[in-house]
Amino acid sequence: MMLSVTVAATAISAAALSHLAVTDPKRRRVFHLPAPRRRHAGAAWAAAFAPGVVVAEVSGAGGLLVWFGAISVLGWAVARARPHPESRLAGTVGNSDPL
Amino acid sequence: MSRLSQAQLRRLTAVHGWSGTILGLLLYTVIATGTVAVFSGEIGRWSAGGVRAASPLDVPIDARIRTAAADVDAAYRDDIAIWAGEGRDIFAFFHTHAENPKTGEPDDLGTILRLDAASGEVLERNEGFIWDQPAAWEDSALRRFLVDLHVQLYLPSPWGLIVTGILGLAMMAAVISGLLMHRHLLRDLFVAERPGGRLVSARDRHVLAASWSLPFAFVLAFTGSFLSFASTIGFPLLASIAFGGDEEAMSAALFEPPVAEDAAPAPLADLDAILAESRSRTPGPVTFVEIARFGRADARVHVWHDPAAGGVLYVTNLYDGAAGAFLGRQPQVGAAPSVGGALYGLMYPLHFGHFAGVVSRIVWGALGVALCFVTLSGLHLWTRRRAGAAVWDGFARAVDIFAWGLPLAMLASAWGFLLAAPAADPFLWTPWSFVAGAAAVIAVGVAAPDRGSLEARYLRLLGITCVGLPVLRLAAGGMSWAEAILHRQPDVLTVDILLLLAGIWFLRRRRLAGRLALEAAE
Repeated sequence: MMLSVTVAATAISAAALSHLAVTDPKRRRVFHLPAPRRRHAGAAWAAAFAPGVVVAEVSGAGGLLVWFGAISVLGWAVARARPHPESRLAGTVGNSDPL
Repeated sequence: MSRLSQAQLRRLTAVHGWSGTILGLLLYTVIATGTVAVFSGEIGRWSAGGVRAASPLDVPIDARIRTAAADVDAAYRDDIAIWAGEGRDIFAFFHTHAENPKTGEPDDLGTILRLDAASGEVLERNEGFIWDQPAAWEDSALRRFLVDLHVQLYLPSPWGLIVTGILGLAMMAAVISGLLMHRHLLRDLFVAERPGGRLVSARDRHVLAASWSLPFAFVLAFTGSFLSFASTIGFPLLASIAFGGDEEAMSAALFEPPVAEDAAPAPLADLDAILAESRSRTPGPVTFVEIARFGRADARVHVWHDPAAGGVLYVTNLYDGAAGAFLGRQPQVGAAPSVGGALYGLMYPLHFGHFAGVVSRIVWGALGVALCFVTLSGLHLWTRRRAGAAVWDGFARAVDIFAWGLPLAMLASAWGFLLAAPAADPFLWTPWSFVAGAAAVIAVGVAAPDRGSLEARYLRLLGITCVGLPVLRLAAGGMSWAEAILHRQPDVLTVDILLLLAGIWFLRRRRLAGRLALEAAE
């Protein structure tokens, strides 16, 4: 029960972070994409963090730490993915460092 | 975000960059080995290969301990520590406290027995200052080596701990200076690395990973630094100031509630009944049992539990050893619960990340990978800004060799362990295999014609060493997959499969990197 709540909350937060990433104005500007029509940033941020309250209530401090750690990593993974696959390919060529 | 002047920003950037550059490779070593050490339990079970149906502390142990106690020097019954091995074995360390002539410090002197919890058979017996003999109390030389490398960089005590403590402080300084330097943390939170492999791309990579891992970078650096300095500086200083240099008195005051001395002989209450009672009031599994003053009227039994589901703090229940009565929950520090005690108790679970079983360990492992990325991308950014200068180009190559070489050397230590385990001393050959692996990796890196060819070479080596490990483990007499499935030993199977998948992924990535390099050349 506790684990499933933590996993579900992490999935909801990750979905909200994905929406924030896809509609992020600076990210879109940097990658020459048109500005999003609607962003609902406040609601998306609330959707990203509200599951943490549920996790804290149901899964306790341990679950909260797991959720926060997981969304830190997933948030990075979501933000790191580039909008265009061709630009990802371009960045790989001739790049010898291990990152 | 911050309102610093240009001059302040330049100074802060210099502090952030130079401290990161000077200590970055050591920091990467500590973080990468720490990421592996998060899974030390799994690595121990994978490499030690014992079959266990349940934790050995969950089966009756009272008779085993009484029989063993009758067979050791009476002086060593002063204190008995009991914990589980990786199979169905338990370790029972009967000891007293004496000055270790090697170090001149107080230490634990006694007899350690490794017992089969099911049959009671004595599997191994060792005497003396046991902490000097890792083979006496550690099932897996590989795990011991990897954990030691993380905790103290395999340097002699206390210097290794002091170095890792300083590295923790440096990491905290980097986190704070990075936070102050970055003016648009929230605005840049979703800006992916810009394409083209430009300088700004390197900056994007570093800033993005650092921004997302900021809170945990601070927590892990703080707790790591605390754990390193607590035993080397904190506690000795406290003992010197408040207890006239008597570390035993300090330890008693901080961690043992006062007991009215009563040396009258009294048999120990039923240990199994005490453990059952402790389990009934604390849901987390029992991990450690300590019996103080065995066979005396003033005996005390401490029972340690891992955090229960949803909890973070370890729980210690205290019992009257002679009567078997529950005396209360032992605070983390001192005789009564306190904020300081709770904070002290938080240091371990927050650093090790094993408060919620394998789930929290996976998350902590992923955070470790993110922090490795932050460290290496920072070093890459620093050298990229100075590209063209011979010394910095050389350093950039060294960073690449180090970045790829450390995981390869760790894998080499696993190869050495598996090769040595059947016939030689794995506690000797595991670290030497790491050294040999590191030397080979450096030779490959130095011999490569340019930095561009390093990736393909190291990816191939990583692929081969990963794929070969499960094969070597089986060839060295390790538990077969059929046995693992039959006896429900998920760690052996999981680690083997993960190694195979990682190896295949490295080899495929190597092929892709080779193809892209070829296309670029054409």
